[in-house]
Amino acid sequence: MKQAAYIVNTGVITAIGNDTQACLQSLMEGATGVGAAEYLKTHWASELPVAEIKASNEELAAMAGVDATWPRTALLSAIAVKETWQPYAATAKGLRTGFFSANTVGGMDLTESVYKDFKANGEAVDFNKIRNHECGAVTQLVAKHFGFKDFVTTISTACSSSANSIMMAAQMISNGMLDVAVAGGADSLSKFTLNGFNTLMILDKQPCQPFDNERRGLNLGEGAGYLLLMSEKAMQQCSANAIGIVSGYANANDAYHQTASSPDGTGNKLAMGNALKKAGLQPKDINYINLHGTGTANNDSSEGKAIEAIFDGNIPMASSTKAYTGHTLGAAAGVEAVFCVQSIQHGIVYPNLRWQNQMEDVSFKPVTELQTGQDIKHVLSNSFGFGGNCSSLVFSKA
Amino acid sequence: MQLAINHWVHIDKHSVIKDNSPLLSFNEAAAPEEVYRSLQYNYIKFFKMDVLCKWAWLSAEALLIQDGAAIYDGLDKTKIAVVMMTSHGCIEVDKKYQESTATIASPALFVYTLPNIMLGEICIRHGFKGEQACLVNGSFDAEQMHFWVSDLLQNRGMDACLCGWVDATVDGYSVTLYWVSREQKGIQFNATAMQQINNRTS
Repeated sequence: MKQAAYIVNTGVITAIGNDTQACLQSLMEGATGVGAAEYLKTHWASELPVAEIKASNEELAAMAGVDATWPRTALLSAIAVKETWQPYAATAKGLRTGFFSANTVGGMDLTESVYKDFKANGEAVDFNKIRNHECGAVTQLVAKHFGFKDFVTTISTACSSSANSIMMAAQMISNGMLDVAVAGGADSLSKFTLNGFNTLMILDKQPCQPFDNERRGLNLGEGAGYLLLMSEKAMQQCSANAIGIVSGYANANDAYHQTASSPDGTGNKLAMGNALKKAGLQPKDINYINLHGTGTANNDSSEGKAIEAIFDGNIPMASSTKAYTGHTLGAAAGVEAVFCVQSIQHGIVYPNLRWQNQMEDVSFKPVTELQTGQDIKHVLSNSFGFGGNCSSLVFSKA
Repeated sequence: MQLAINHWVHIDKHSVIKDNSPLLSFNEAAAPEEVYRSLQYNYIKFFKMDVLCKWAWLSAEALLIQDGAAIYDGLDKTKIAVVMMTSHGCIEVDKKYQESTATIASPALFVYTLPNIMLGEICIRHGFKGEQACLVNGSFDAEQMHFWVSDLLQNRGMDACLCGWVDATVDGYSVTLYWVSREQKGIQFNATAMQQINNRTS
């Protein structure tokens, strides 16, 4: 029998805060996390702003209560997992618990730290630094630390990775295969991603302006975001209250270009339309869209056009939170899922920071002032990634 | 359930062979652009691809398009899988990209620096949206290919699969593609049959 996947808790860390409360505070105050890199050792520090968490790996390890030799992605993951899981770790004993963690960079930060020496003299480097290079190794470190054993998986579908974690976890709970799931993802900044995106010429040299006609590109960010999902039975055992439901989800492929969206957002439309269908909702039922809204010319135009096609003249409140957190890649859909749940819980819609100019090819305007006292019943969250990966999630009031 | 190789294409130093008949012959190893022109294809994006994608795209075109029609016409494209195997992957474009970073790193080269992009180019051309895998192996492993493709068609809801081996560097190429489905036409689908086609020399 199909059952609902309830959201009972959230955990998040980004450049705008080390937990859900701190991030929410920054979102409400319009405080951005975008600025110069201090901890990422890059040639581009003064030219390419990033949304960096202002803490060293040692400081992050202390926050998480784990080994400081872990890759930064694993440290961020552990901090956000701790926030969402710890309150229920004791009462959830005996329940089948899954850990679905997405990332795209794995232990790249540590690999980069020895790469130069390795190239110069292959024998002289500390090979422990590359032991956790692979994306799955990051998940395994965190799973082992928290004792997740029943089902553990890593998903890497570029910028939609965490959406797939949440989708898969919700499906396994709905089908009675698990009682509890921690689902989301993490990614740290690395030279690999910064240089890669710079090669693609889609980074903004200034703080990004999603959905603005004068937008110049995206800022990369780092972070982690997870939802704690439970079946009804698990909620009873844990005396947990639902703060939302994962009500709809869909994946589609744009099948257009390696790193660009099709001009009319074919995959975006398919993902949004099918997620609504899965949730049993009509477009008019959506109260807020958390946009993918990276700030690139291509994404915002395709996404905007796809939204116009799906919502047909009746476009709900919409905003991108990437002007606060940067684009956190594999973590983005996890981070934004937490923001969506907070939107439902507190009846708020976040302003789309730094918006100034109406886009020429898209008719609607994002929300630019904090909206409070709203009755937010259903939120649509978009995540569109390289490789044509298009994912949409729908979160609903419990 | 019996599966069959309905059609295949093999490209070596001397010819492009489809189902035992030569589509094109040449005296010495051909450049992909020559094959493209000789077979009178018209797909402008071809010229921006890396050498791996060019061979993959060409062999898929030769295999799938027959007398102006596609062999998958009438099939549900969400149930057409693609499984490719390669050894050198996209090493040539990796090297070129690395060289480009000395001045201005090239976005046009960068987007080809993954071997599975060859599946993307084929899927964009033909609109396939089924299951996909790109396997990197030392050499063509027919047993492994047989396992993956059989599983997709027997257990994963796929109706047909484009599969095969594409390997290309500046020093040469080796290409064999197969179209496998439940339709009992052609030759029986097994590792030995795939290996024989892959090994053939003209």
